[in-house]
Amino acid sequence: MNNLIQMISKFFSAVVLLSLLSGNIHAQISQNISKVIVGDAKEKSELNIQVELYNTNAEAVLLYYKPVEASEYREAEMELIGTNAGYTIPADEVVPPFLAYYIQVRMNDGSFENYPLGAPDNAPPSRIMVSIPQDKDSELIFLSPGAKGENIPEDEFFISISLLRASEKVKKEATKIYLGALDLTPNLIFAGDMILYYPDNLPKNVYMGSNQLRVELYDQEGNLYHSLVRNFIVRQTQEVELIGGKFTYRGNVKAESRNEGFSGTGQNLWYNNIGVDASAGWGNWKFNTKVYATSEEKKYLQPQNRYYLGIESDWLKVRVGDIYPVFPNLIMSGRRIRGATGRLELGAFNLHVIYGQANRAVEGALLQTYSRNNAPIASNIIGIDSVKYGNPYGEVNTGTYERKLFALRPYFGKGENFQWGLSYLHSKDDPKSIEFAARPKENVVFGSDLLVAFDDRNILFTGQAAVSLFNTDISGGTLTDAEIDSIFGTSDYINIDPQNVKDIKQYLGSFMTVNQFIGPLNPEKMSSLASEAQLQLNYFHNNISGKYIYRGNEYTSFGQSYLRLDVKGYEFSDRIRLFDNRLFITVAYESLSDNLQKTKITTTTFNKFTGTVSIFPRINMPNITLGYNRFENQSDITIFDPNYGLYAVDDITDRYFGQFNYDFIWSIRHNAVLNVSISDRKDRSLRNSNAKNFTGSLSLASDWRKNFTSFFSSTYYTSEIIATQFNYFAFSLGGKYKLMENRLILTGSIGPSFGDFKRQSFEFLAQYFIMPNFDVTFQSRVFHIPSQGTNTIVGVNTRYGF
Amino acid sequence: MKKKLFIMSLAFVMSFVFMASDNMKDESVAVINKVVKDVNFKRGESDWQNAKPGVTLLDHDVIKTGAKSLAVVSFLDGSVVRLRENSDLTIYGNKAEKKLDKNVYIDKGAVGFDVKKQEDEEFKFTTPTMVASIRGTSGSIEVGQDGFTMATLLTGLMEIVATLGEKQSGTLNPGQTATIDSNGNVVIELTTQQQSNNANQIQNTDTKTIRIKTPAGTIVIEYLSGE
Repeated sequence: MNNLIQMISKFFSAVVLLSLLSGNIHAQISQNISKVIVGDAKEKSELNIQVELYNTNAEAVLLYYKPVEASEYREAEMELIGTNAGYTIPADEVVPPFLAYYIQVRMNDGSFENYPLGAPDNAPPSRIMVSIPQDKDSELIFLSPGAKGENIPEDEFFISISLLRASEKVKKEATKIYLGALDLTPNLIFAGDMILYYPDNLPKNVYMGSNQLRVELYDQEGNLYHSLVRNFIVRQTQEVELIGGKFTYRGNVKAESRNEGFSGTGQNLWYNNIGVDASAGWGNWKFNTKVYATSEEKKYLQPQNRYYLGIESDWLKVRVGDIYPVFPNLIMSGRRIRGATGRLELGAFNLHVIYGQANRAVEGALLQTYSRNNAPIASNIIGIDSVKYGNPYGEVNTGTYERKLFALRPYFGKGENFQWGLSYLHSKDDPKSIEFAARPKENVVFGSDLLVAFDDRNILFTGQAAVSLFNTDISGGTLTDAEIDSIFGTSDYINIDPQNVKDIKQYLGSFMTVNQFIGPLNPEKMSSLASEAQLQLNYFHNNISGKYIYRGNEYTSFGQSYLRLDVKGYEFSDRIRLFDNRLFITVAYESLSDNLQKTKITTTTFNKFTGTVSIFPRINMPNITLGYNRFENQSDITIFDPNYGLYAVDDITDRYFGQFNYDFIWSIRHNAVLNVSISDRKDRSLRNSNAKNFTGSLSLASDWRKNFTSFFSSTYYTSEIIATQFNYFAFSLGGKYKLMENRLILTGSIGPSFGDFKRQSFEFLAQYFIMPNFDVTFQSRVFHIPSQGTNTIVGVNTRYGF
Repeated sequence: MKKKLFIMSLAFVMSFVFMASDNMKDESVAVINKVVKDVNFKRGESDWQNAKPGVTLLDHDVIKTGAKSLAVVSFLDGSVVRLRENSDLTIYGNKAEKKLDKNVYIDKGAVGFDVKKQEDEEFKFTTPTMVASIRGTSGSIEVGQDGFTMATLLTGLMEIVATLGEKQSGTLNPGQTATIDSNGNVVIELTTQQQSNNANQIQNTDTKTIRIKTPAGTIVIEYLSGE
């Protein structure tokens, strides 16, 4: 007990000391996001990001991320299940030195919140440092644990490391090995080039679960030559039923019951949900399924339940239920569809097909009826069944039409060195699916994409183009030729040659509804074209990229809702690796402009410069990233323009940022991350929206013992936007303690914030393992916002693995 | 009972210490990473010994598996060889500076392999009927009666030379299977679905365990998943 008290006092001393050392310290706050869990970011390895939400009011959670040199964030809809959302960034997009990201939570009531608050314009995005392999990494070979992240049964756990490839400079017998904070060096056995460690003298609770193995090589002079880390998991030997044949399976059943109380509104709500996820294998075939049913499923909302069944082999993948298909990003980028997807992969010829429901029909409500003579003109005044309701017009709360989506992509080549694809997407609202709504829509997109690579992908060209047709109101159906003649014409309602419309009807009438609401009717202006082409060269430690993008202002794809439109321009970047990947220098420049179809009063040019330096010393020094961004936005008219000066844009933003990651041993092992960002926007337009921002955050995680870790984080945020100040300071302090040979895990934290954002949060979780594959977790969370009330969340969840 | 368990545990630990200290006299070229059921190894003229995870192997060591048994061997360069049941092989390793030339002689049985790519380094598999040189490769080799050999390649490249009779040769690419008979004929064909399943199964070393508690103690049954 005394040891524990000593340790805790030591911990607080460390926190205070580090806080003082770092000067201003800071943190992230959010009304919706409780926690963001980022996986181990390794170059060219998939990276999983999990978001835990406080409550279940989110309609969608979007992840925006980009490598440092990219100008545009990539958008991805995270898979949202209850209060958890997850997304795995593809391996190709995980590149050093870091990824910048922010998260947007879209609520059922239409509001949204970005995390970090204000990102990306008024606060810096978060950053994920991506670790890089070095030449020296190959001098040290892990034989056991073998693969990264390997699961090892408890009975098979031992350590064997080969120094076959180690340099002559390395003094092999001086090698040190740590398991977490535990020094294993005294009990190492050296057998030639092999180093062995048998954990016979270690209690099992020391190495059960997640572990980090750190190997340090020293040179003949006793200086640290190189170090390498391997993460692995030691699990209890599974006790499962004997299954005959070649059929294998595994899965989890989860259930949760949770109460949320809001003192401000007096609401007290129960949420119950149950989920099953399972996978099975039969020879080369794999099956996986997920079912999640929740009491939050309501007819008046988009689906909250989730389910799917998937079957896949080396050449065929089929999934039915909730799917998140990905096409070339101009066409479809992982949005949820309820339906089916099939993917045939034969190598030379491949086919990807999707069909399903993008929106579920949600009926609106009739508020009031109007006669033909007294109906006001408003967007929510629609024609209704006069026989049924007495009047021909009604004021309604509009509902959502059922929207079906079909997409097809035949593509040729595996994509290692060549791939050419053609895409077709058709999506349409069903006007008969509900009664009270207006303007059902329809969308068709045609696209093509190409990938060509040479010299082991050191030369990589990618390109894609897509054109769309968008009908904003298909309620009247396709026009007859006579109707076209009466609506279109130089002297008619729409000044377009009727023959053009008839031509469109002839060629595209079989694909979609053609009427006066279809666009574009003047395709020669390329308003519905989106295209991009990129050339990447990877030589002499330089990764050089040049990219051109064009996106017309009318380009629309129902499979991709988050593209920045009405913009064209180019981007150049170079990412330079030096000194065996210890130093990264990145420079990037982009110049984009809008108003492609002259639909705006002014044309604005957006120039951006990014420069970063990242240092990964790989010895007992922090990893450091320093960066600078400059954003220049300027329109082609000035504030002195007598007619349109109000629309002039003229602002410059300078942003400086630094991030320091430090793994160090100070009595025990710690990981500290310090972030600082300063930005200053000078707005010389009539809006005069000058803005200054300072954000700093410090986090510290410490392994006190194998069964006790603590974490501390703090954020200081201050901004002045158009002379309005917003400042807060927040911190959270918590720990995780494993008891009863890891059967009981207690986690607790407190997190007050001060200043313009006042909130106190308390969190306590107790997880008890009845059996290794069966656990029960009690959770309680309290959030108190002085001006609004107290939100309490109390619940129990359980998981059974089979 | 407790005393017996204590003595057995002590013997188990001592066996590690003994084997490790014994190995220290020589140059280890590989280590046994996983053992299921009946696996034994033999060094020189000594008797067969039970193999356990962590046992290091020297040049010329012989290792064999019994029925429903399995062993996984990792070489110093990270290459992995998986022995399925009723297999018998000899390990040869020649270390020179930072290089390790390896040769695995398979007398009988089935072996899966993952070989790390390395320039100027040899990894050969030898059977009674052929010699296969491989680089940066994964796949499987099965040796049946009369040395009849079947090699299936999943990735990489394999050069095969028959050592008897016709002494035919050929190059095996991913997705191909070669059969080599005792007359020295080498036949290379596209891998069938069954052969592919078989090769993947040979590579799979996941095991599961059942523990049945009885009044007389706990019965432990370990078996290969998917079998």
